[in-house]
Amino acid sequence: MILIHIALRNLLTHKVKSAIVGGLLVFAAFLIIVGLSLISSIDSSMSKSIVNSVAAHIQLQQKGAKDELSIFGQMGSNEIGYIHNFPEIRKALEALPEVAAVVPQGIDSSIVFGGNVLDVKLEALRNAVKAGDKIQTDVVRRHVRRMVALLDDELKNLKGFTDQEKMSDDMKSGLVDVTQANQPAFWDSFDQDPYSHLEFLENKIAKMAIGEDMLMLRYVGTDTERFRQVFDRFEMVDGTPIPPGQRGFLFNKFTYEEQVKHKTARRLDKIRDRLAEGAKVATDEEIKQWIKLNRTQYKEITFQLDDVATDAVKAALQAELASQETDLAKLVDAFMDVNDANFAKRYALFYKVIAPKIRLYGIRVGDTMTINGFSQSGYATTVNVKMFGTFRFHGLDRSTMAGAFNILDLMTYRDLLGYMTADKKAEIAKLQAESGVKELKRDSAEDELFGKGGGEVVEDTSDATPAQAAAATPTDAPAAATPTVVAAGNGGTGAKAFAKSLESHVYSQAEIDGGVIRNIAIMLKPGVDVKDGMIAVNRLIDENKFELKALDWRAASGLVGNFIGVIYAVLAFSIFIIFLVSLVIINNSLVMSTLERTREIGTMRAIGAQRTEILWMFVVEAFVMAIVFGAIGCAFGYGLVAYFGHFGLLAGNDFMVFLSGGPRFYPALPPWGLPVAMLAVMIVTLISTLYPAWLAMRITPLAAMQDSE
Amino acid sequence: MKYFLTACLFLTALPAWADDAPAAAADVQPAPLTEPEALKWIQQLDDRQRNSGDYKTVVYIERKERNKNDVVFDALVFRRDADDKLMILFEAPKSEKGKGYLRVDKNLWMYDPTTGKWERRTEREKIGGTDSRRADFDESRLAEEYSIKYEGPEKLGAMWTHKMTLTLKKGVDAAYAKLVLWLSTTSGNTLKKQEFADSGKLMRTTYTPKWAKKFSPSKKGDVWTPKEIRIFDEVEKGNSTTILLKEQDLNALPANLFTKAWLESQSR
Repeated sequence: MILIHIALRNLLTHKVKSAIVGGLLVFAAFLIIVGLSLISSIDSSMSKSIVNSVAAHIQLQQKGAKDELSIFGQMGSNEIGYIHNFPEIRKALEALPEVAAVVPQGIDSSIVFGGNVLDVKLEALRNAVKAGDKIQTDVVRRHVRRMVALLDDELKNLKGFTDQEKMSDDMKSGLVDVTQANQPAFWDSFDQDPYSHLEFLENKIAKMAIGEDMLMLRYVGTDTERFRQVFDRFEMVDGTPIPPGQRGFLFNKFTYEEQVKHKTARRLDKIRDRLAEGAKVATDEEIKQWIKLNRTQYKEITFQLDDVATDAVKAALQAELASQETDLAKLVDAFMDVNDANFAKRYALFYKVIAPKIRLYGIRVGDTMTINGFSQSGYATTVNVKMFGTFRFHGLDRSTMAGAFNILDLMTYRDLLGYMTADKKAEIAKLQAESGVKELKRDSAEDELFGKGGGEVVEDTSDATPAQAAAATPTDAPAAATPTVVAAGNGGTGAKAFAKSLESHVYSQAEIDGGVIRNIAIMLKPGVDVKDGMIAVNRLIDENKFELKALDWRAASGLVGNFIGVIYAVLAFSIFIIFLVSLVIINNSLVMSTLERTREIGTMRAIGAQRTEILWMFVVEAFVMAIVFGAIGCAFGYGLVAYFGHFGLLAGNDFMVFLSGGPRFYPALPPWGLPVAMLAVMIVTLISTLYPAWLAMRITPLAAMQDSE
Repeated sequence: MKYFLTACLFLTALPAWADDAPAAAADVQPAPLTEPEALKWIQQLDDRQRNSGDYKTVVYIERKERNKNDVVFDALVFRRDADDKLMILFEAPKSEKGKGYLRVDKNLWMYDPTTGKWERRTEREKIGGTDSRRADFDESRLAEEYSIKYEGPEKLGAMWTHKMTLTLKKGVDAAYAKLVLWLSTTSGNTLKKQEFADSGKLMRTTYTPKWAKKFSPSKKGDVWTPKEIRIFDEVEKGNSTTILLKEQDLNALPANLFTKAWLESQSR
C-alpha cells in the first residue's frame, strides 16, 4: 500500500514527465482499441459479404490443380482443375453434421459483343427479311434509312473539317458508299434484291458508324435454384428467377446498370447521384466530363429514333429549350447542357420523353443474349441464353467486387467451358490420325525442317485434274447451295434449331449435378466455426480419397480474403512503432526521474530500504501509470468506436462497401479487445521501467550523499 | 574456247534469265541484295501467291497447348483475291461444323450457326481459338502493307536465306507491326517469319517448309501456296499451331459464295 502511495505521489510530483508518458500511453491504448475494433469488424463484415454472396464458408477444388481458386481474383478462368464426381461428393458432404448446404459452381468470364448501333439494326432488318415479315421489314428499313441519312450528314460535316489529301483511301471510298446508300434509288430497289442491299449496308456502310459495344461479363455457373436458396444475400430486383432446371442468365443489377444501360442515361443517373451527395455542376470536374460526353455523343440518342420518335422528341426538346431549332442533334446537344438549376427537370423529361423511345438497356429481361466464351480446350465457344432478370447481393448494391458476379445456369456454363467429353476426344484423335501431322518441338524445329536432310519442299500440283480437285471438296459444290429464304424459327433440324430447343428444356437434378464443375461451395450450419468445418471436410476428403482440396472462404476469395491480413500487419506495425517510441521516451523520462530522485532513493536505502523494495517501487509506479493512462486511452477509444458503432461510418467507395458488407460501416469492440489493450500497455510500461529501476537499485546511500554535496 | 566461254556465261546467267526467282544453291552464301532488289523479292512473293481468279483449299488446323487438350479443325478456305474476299468454313469436328469467317473488304465477320449471330471481329482474331490469324489464309499483301529493309544473307538450318525486316506502313491495319522474314534463295518463298507487336515484343514464329505451285488458268501462270505452316506462340511458350493446306483448287467459285446468306445456308 505504501508503494502505491509513493507511486501516486511521484506521478503528481513529476507532472511534466507524467504528462508525456501518460499521453503516449493514452494514445497507444486508444490506437489498440480502435484498431482492434476496425479489424474485427471488417473481418466480420467482409466474411458476411464473401460467405453469403458467392463463396460460402468452404470451397473445394481439384487437388493438384495448377492454380488455386481465387473467387475475387483475376478475370478469366484459372487452371483450377475439374470436378467430375459431384453427386458422390455432395452426398458425402451433406451427411456431415457441420454442413448445411453444398452448391456446385464454376466461375468464368465471357464477352458479349453488341456490335455498333447500325450493325444491330441491320441484323434486325436481315431477320425481318428472312422471316418474310413485310411490315417489320418496312419499319426497320425506314429506321435504317434514317440512320444512313444521319451518317451521311455527319460524314459530310466531317469531310468539311478534314484535309482531303490526308484522308485514307478507305475513308474516301466509305464516303462515296454512304452517299450512294443515302440515295432514293438505293432504297427504291431494296425489295428487288434485299440480300445484296443488306450485304452492301453491312460491309460498306456499318463500318463507317463507329462505336461497338462489348460487355465483359464475369459469372458463376451454378445450380441456380440451389444458389438462390443457400446464399441469403441474393435477392431478385427485376424479372423472375431462372425456373428450376432451365437454362438462363441473371444480370447482377450493378453490372446491368454500369454496362448494359444506355450510356447517356447512365451518365444522367450518375450526375443525379452525385448532385444528391451535395456536389455542384460548376465545381465537380467529373460531372462536367459526363455532361460533355452526353453533349458530344448525341448520336447515342439520335441514331436510335425512328421518324415518329424523332418528331416527338424534337417537339419536346423545342418546348423545353424554347427553341425553333429543327436539327435534332443540336437540340439534344443543348438539352444535355445541364446545370444545377435545370438538371432535375431535364432528368425527369429525359426519362418521360426520350427513354421510352430508345433502347434503354442493350439486353432486356426476356431477351436471348449471345455469350462468347474461350473454352479451356482453346475453342471459341458461343451460346445463346435467355436473360430472366436482375438480382443483387443485399447491402452490396454499390460494390464493384460483388456487383461483378452474374449468374448462369450450369448447363450453359458447361457448353461455354467446352469441356472435352470422351466422344469429342475420340473425334479429335481420329482427325489427328488422318492428318498425319508429325509433332515438331520448338527448340529443334529449325534443324528438323531446314537442317541437313531437311529443306524446302515444293510440289507442283498443276497436273491435278479438275475431277480430283472437285473430289477434295467435302461438301456439295457451293453453287448447289444457293441460299433460300428460310422463315425465322422454323430452324429445320440444324444446329440453330437444336440450340433453340434447349431454351425451354427442363433438366433433371441428376443432369444438373452429373456433369463437370470447377469448384464446390460448402455452407456450414449456424454456429459451426469455419476451423471445425475445415477439419470435418478434410477428414471426409481423406476417408473417401477424394481428389479435392479444401479452402476456407478467406483463402478461396484470393487477394481480397488476405486483405484483412494486410490490415492486421499495418496496424501491428503502427502499434509496434508507437510502442517503440513510447518505450524509448518512457525509459528516458524515468531515467531522468531516477537521477533526480538519487537523494531520495539514497536516503531510503540509508534508512533500511532493500534493493528489491526500490525495484518494487518502480514496478508499482509503472503499473499505476499503465492502469491510469491505459484506462483513459481505452475509454477514448471505446467512446469513438461506440459512436461510429451506433451511427455508422459512410463507406466512401465501392471497395469499402464490400469490406463493410453494406453502405455504412459499424465498428464494434470485440470482448477481448479491452484486456488485450490494457495488457499491451502494461507490458510496454513495465519493460520501459526495467532499466531505470536497475539504475535506482544500484544507488547507495554514499552515492546519494556525494550527489548532494 | 570462245564458244565454251560463251556457253559458260550463258549457263551462269540462265537461271536469273529464265525466271524472276533467284536460283542460287541453298548451301552457297548468296550475294547481298540491294534495297530495290529486296522490294522486288517481296513484290514477287505477293504476286506469286496471288491468283487473279478464285481459290479454294482444304485446311487442317491443329493447336497444341501445354497441359490442355489439342484443338483440331478441318475447314474449307475460299478466296477471291480480286475482290478482297475470304471465307473459312469449318467442317469438323461436329461441334464446330457450320461455323465460319467471312472477310469482305475490311470487315471480318464470324458466324455461329448455333446462335445464328454474325459478329465483327478484328484483324487480331485467333481463328477458331488457335494461333492462326486471318492473314495466314488470305492473300499476301506484304509489299502493299509494309516497308521493307534488307538485313543480309543468313543461314536457316543448313540453308542460306535472305533476311528482311518489314515495318507496317502508317494507316494500315494488320495483325502485327513488324515482321522479319527469311526467304529461300532458291525459290524466293518465305521459310521463316517472326511477327512482332507494336511494343516490339516477339509474338509468333512461323515456319513454312512446304509450298505448292499450281497452274492457274485465270492468271495464266503459277500460283504458289503454302502446304504446311508451323506456328509457335512466343508469348505462351509451349503452344503451337500446325496448318496443312491440301487440295488447292483454282477454278472459279460461284458468284454468290462470299455472302452471309451463303455461309448461313451451309448449316441449315
